[in-house]
Amino acid sequence: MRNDHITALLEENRFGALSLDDVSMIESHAADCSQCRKAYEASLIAGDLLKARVAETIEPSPFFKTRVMAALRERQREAEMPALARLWKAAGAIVSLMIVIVVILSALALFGSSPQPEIEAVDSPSSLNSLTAERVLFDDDSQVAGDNLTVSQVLETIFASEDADGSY
Amino acid sequence: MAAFSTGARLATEITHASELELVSRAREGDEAAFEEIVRRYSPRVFQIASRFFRNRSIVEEIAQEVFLKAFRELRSFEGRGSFEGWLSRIATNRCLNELRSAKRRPESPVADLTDEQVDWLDNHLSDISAARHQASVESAVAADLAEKVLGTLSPDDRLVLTLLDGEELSVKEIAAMTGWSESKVKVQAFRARRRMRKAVEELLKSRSQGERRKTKT
Repeated sequence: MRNDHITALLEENRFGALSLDDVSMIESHAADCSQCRKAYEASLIAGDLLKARVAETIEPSPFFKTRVMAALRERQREAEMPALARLWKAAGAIVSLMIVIVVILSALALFGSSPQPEIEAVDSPSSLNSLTAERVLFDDDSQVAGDNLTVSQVLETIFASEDADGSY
Repeated sequence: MAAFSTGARLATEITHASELELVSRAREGDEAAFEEIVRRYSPRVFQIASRFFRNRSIVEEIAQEVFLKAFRELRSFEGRGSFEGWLSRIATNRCLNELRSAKRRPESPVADLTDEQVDWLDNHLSDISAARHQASVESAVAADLAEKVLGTLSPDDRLVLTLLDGEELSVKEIAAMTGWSESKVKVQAFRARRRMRKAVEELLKSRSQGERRKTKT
């Protein structure tokens, strides 16, 4: 049966720092109690693990002092910099990139667009009459019917207008 | 020649200056005085940081931040306690913050025990009632194992156990280093011991389960 007095002793004292009386009391109890024995063993191992861990120390390298002083000077320089310069240092890259993009877009707008070709008057059947292909096809107005166009005239008008704007 | 001797004299003066003199000169912007502070106290700051971190670059980074913060806050040092104590407090809090911001702790310490770690536990258990060998305690295997177990604890538990049971500092010293009350240190230590003991019990259980599996195969 687990003895709460023993586990409390283990938790109240530093790992591995029990008095001799406590140790002999725990050991005599632990001989017959596997739970307390496990807890006692675990606390001894925990103490040794902690000792092993704190025995590991990293020493400062010979360059550490130089490194700290360089970092300190850098921070002081930054602190002394005027606010605008600090802002530029922080956002300079983004602002520069934006300026470059604006210049490129302006250049493209100025020089990239080709002049509009002049539209020559085409002497085609579509220019001869006022009916465009769309009007012939979609306009329900009876005016079309009233013009008395033949089928061949209608088709000629459609193909002539397709040829003229070349969009099909 | 005269400049050289003046420089040498100043350097000697700084090397032998008291803690308060150095602080007061550093406050006035004397770089050499602050350089001497870094030289004098960096072993202590490294010692504190390496209790919690094993990677040299992390330890150096933390130590550098500690000195930069100390420089910024030199004016707040009133000279009532020792400068080393004041610096240790900055270092301890910096480590605690770093532990808190580190990624989530693993759920269990028992996964992935190496053969060397199992051997260390075996040897240690067989030797538990006899006088234990210091050499084996200080081995890198034990330190790896310790890191595994400590990694499962909360930053506060880890801090209090490392300083109180590992480094054997007093409750009062830890209270000064962390800014906690002495009763908080005691309560934290009591709970942390229970959690660490249970983590080691888990470790031992997994070791014996592993051994049983090995025997079966």
